[in-house]
Amino acid sequence: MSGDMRILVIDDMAVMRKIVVKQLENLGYKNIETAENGKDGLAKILDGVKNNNPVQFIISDWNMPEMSGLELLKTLKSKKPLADIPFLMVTAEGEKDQIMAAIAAGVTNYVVKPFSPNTFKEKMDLVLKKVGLPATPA
Amino acid sequence: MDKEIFQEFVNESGQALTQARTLLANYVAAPAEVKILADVGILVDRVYGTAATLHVESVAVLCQKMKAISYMAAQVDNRILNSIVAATMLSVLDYLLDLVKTNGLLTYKKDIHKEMANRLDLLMSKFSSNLRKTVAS
Repeated sequence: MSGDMRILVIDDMAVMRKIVVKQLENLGYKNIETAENGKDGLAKILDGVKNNNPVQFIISDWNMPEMSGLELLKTLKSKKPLADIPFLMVTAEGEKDQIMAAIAAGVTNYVVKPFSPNTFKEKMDLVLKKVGLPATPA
Repeated sequence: MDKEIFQEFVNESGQALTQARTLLANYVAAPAEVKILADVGILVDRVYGTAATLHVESVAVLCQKMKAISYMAAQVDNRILNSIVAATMLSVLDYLLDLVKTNGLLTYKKDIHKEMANRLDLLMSKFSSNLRKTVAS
């Protein structure tokens, strides 16, 4: 599965979405989709379930309009088929409260902005290892 | 840095900073509405995260400080302090928007930038140490 894993990148800033997608492509992933906020992301996740093409990995920003990353995470955790999707939360520097809240809500791991491509890869691999999936392809 | 991504950052951050400026102007007209300051904090936080990731220090440093100040100001009902917050942040936002409009984000004058950062540091020091501990700065 590795390189074909369906990944959903959720961020309200188009530039951040592009940065994350580019880093994922550099890691060898090809099946990447994006969403502008938690609400849009949730719709895509539910569509995936409906169409038998489930999202297999979520990378979501915390601070977004409509539905935040934490609200999305809590919603997914309350829906059994979706609760096990690996979830990497992107949060701002020094936001310890956010990180603690995300951990309490069951996030698989988190990455703090600003992050380097190496840090991003390390976090991806930690999440993949935790859920028993192969490491990043590249 | 990828030119296309940088240009998109310029456009997107310009929009977000303009929105933050509009919100601050709204706050000046309605100083009891401290929630507006939290909304300003959310906007500059978004810009900060992207600017820091792209290493656009001119924007990242000032937005990080404005984020902290906005969140602290939203937690206190001190009209005098918050009016100074609004006035200072309006001047910093005008400075940043000017850099955006003149393509000066990477060629800004260090002394002016330092002055803006100093103003925000001074403002930050006016909040209690307990409150400062609650925000990342």
